[in-house]
Amino acid sequence: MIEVKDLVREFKVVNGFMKHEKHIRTAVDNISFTIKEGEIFSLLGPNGAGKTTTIKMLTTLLAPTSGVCSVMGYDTFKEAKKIRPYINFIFGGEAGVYRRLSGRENMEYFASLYKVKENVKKERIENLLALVGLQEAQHNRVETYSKGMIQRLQVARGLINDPKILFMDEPTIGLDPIGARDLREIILSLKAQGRTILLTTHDMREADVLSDRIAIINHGKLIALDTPSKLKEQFISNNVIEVDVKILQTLQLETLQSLHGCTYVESIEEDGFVHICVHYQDSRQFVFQVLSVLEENEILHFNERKATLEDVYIRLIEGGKENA
Amino acid sequence: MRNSIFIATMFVQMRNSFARKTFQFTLLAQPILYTFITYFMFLHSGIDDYLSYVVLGSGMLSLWSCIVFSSAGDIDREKWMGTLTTIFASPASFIKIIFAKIVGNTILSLVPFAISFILVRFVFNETFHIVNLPLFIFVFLLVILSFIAIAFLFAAAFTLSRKASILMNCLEYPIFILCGFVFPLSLLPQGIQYLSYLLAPTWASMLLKESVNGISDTNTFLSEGVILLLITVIYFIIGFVLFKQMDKKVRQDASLEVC
Repeated sequence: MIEVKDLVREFKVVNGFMKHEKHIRTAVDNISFTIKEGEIFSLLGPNGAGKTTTIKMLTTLLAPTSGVCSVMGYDTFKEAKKIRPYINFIFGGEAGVYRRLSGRENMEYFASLYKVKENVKKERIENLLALVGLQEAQHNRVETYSKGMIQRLQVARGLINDPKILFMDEPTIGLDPIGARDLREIILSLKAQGRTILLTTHDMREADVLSDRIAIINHGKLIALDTPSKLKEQFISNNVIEVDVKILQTLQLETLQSLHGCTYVESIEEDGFVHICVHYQDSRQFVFQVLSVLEENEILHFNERKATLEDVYIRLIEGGKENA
Repeated sequence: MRNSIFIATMFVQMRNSFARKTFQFTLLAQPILYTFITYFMFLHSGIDDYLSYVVLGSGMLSLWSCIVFSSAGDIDREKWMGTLTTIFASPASFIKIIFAKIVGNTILSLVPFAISFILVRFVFNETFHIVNLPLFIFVFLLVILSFIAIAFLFAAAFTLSRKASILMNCLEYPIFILCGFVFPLSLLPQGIQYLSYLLAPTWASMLLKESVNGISDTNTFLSEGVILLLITVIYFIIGFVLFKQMDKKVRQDASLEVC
């Protein structure tokens, strides 16, 4: 359904006020992946990693510098017109709708632009407004909407052409927890209808719950790609011990790192205490070993849990920083 | 379906434009001010057909202001609203969408002519007489077409170049002067008049006044009509070529959004 191969996108950046200095910034650096029909595929990465740039190339809004970027077998740059009727996108935030028109007028206008047939237009608009809970406010101007309502209107707009492929760039940004949960349910129902979805999000729990596969990108490069469960298996141990102590000495940190079964230790200085995160392979004795290393410390909090996607993400991104 | 995109875009544009305070001022208040200024300027000028300068001049001044502050800058405005990407990525033809927006704006921008006419007739108690009404209507339609063409050309140029869009706000008064909306073109230095003749509004202004006051020389009038038509066609062709280039260039330069 979607093929990205050795994809590169460079931007010319101009610095300086009087004397312009130009340099090239590589936003997407040789990434490759494919997305199957009916799959929810998530792109994760820090701000500026290249997620939105990748989505813009796939949605025909941006030309690749080099590489293959195709949707439904069509080149997204040269054959954009063949792709557009079958795709749509939802970018997070408040832009992308006409604020001086009502929610319904926006929907009617975008239905016209997407050439939705007159006999299905009315019913589809009604259904979509009901789906995102904007039936009551449909005749109000968008400029009177809350951020969450605008975001929900964006979702309805993104579904106006009944797209086969939906690109969602941080769709839950600005939504309250209930709105975000409702949107996740909408995304899962779209998947159940056989739609292909490419999603970016900073919410790791959301990515974990929704995604069939996840790609993590950093500095424009693809650094991991697999199912959520395999990513956890592949990049991080299954178990995590979290301990908060008053003070942590360097020697203790090194001892924790050298413990048999330990795969990764992270320590974060918080306000008045140190938060330690120790990742380890399955071992019944490991917890006791950690406690023995910290026996002279004042332990404020102790927790043992299973590793999450967030642990994988932090490990990969922080690891990238250390290696950089 | 094709017409529904055009008509829907036209009405959306008219509603969006009219909701803007700047556009409301340009559309409703500015023609009143221009009519008052030009009326008292020309009242004791000794020019017989001074009402054509008042009604048509004020209308043209306001029409041009509307073109400059709306049609030409709409793509930039859509860029700031974040709607340019949504309309650009839709299956509808982008040129058609922009063209429909310009037509919508231009239709709205005819209101100043009516305001100016009403003021002259009912406030100043003057009679604005049109010698040949069918001819005037024909010329008026040609003038509208020429203004649509120039807005189309500017819209394309401003989309391609961010620097060009900065010039937009500087274009209002030079065109007022260069095209002789409220004074005879012969008052300008000869060298500048050559530049005036390259601009469609110059010919539009001349033809409108002649169709109101009566044609003194049919051949000259016809020549002026043909020249206006030719310039309009040239503007459309250049605009169309620029829009075709723009389709690829904006995606290569990443200029569809505000960075």
